[in-house]
Amino acid sequence: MSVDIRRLLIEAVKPRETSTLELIQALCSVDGVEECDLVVTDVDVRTETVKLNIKGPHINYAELKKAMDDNSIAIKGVDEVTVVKTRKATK
Amino acid sequence: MRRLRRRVEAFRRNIVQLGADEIARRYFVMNAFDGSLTILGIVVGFVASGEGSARLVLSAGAGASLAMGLSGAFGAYMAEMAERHQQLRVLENHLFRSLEGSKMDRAARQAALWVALVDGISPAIAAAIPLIPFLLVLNGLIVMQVGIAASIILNLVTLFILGIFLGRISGKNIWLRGLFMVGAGVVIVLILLAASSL
Repeated sequence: MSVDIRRLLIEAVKPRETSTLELIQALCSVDGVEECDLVVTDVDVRTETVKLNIKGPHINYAELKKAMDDNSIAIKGVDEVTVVKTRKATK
Repeated sequence: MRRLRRRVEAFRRNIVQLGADEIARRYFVMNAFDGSLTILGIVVGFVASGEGSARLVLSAGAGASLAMGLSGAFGAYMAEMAERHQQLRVLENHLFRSLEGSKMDRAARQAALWVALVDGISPAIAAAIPLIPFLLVLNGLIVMQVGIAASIILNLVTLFILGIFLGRISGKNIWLRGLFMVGAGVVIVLILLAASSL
């Protein structure tokens, strides 16, 4: 039996220099992620606040956080989470 | 091969995103102008003194070219890294996190390296071109007077090409820009000749 993260709604801050497209592609490349949505909710002189909606069958949160760290994203908070208990198939 | 291409693409994107391409273009023109006129000054000084040999001009020119290249590269790298670090610190205050080891940190280093490379190579190349005739003089292929004339002409041609480059960037008349740069070079030669006759 395992508990898989299926959806995360994250509010984060990113530098304006960081490309939105590159960021979303990097996040979607993470193991277990199938779909990513990004909405820019606020803009100031140096940063943009974004809402990331990340979906997949079993999101690897550690890897996701690493990808966000690498792309200079600061997580403000995880606003919504969906987890599912899955029963592993026995032989 | 594909991995190398992706890295080059990422490098180019970082350079453009951080505005390092604009800074590098500026340094390219400024330092190529410096390099070109430094050698012009050496050649004019040589002509005015009436002494020396092709070997002397080549040694002085090569030394100046190397010094300009190295100082340009190191100086630009240090200055650029200081600026980038300062910008990263400001961003860290906004993000409430360290950016050390992140893509932005790596991109800042790449931008500084690119600017340093351009700053180092541009004066060295611009200085090396007008020295070529003296190599021919040293090998007995042409006489000194022809070498001096060829060096000055090559120098002015380099300035003209720089002017064309500036014209293309700014969208202004490239021929006028080229002539303007040549004119600047001629004025500087006249000033140098006048100064050396004092």
